[in-house]
Amino acid sequence: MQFFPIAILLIADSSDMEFMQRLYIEYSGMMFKMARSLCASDMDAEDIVSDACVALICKISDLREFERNVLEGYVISIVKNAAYMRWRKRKRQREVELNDDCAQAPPEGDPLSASIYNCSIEQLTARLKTLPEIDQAIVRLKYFEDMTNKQIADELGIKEVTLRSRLFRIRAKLYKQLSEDEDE
Amino acid sequence: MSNSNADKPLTPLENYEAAALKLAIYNQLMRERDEALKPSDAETEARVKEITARAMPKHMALIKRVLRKQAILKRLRGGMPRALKLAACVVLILNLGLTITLAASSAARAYMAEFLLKPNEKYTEIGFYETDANAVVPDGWTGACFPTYIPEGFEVAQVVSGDGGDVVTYINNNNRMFMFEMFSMNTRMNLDTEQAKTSFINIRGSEIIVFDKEGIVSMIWQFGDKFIVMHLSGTVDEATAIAESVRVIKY
Repeated sequence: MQFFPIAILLIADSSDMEFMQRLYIEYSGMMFKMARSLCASDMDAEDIVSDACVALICKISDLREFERNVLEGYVISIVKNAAYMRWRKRKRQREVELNDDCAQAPPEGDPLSASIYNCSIEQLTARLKTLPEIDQAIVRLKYFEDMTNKQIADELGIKEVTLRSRLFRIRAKLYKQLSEDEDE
Repeated sequence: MSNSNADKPLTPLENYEAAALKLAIYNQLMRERDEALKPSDAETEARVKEITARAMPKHMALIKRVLRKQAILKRLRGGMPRALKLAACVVLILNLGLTITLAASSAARAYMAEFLLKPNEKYTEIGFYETDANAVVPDGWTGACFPTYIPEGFEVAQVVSGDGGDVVTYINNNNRMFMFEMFSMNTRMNLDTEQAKTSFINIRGSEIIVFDKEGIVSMIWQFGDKFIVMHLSGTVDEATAIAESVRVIKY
């Protein structure tokens, strides 16, 4: 004997389905190439693309609004995040990597300095690229994917206060480097 | 893409920072995209093609599954109070061995039959005769009869069938639900009828008991060695129209 499952299910919106299928068909090659460059095996690349598909579906209403080139950037960003999340999960470095030196309240003040005014976007891009992958992921989630601190913290499985502290340090480091570039 | 992060209004410098960082990240991503799109050597291209082809069916199925799940959650969030009301209204106990068929567009048009006495001059024809009405019977439904009329806009959400009987659930865009159930004589069920308005109607010789409670109409009647239970979030008139349309499926 069992209780009868009374469920309310509905067929997914076919237009969402079509949109996602088209997106997948168009970008799967690029996604696999990207994923394959970020992991060690074809199987891992498949898993990364699976995770990316799920993440893309969660953002479907935003995706519909994007221009093509922004959409491509977004897809790449999602694949990178998926690869990073998978790597982190596998390595189980969460505690060591993120909570070590940051499990405290963010320092007082704001590291934001005028150096951001004085640098070019090219310089900023170059500096961002030198950040550790975890920091790049945080900056990407925060400033490109417009996620809130809470959403990012949940995604990374850390406390929000840790995230804020980490973000503070990333920005402080970045602006210090930009100031140094300026001085040179 | 606007920066929706702000818990408090951003200063002009912070706004500039957000925009500059977004541009820089975009720059970086575009370079990576170009890199990814650059034709690789033939071997890599062939391998990517192979992985893509291999994974495509799996990923397409995944996309379908996740979208369906999202639609369900959206539905549940939107229509929870009414759905809960309906769910709370009925607690059924069935035998084990249920098969659940998730709603899909798959359904078959079935011809229906009606028991008729056709008097002629010298004799009277007796039997089940095919009617003009036909019903769209969802995949998985094994019951002997089905309504030929389902109010417009209702879509099949779920079909459950087992030794104890069959249940099909419909839902419409306004989160109204309709459930049509057919159970065997071994099935017992409880129906929440506390303070329900109770009445009786007769449709083609069948005595039907009607419970109307908080906008949910339930109708129950016997059909051979089975019994039919119907719930509709709607009016008694609407439910009656559906009940009147129930016909035997001509298999």
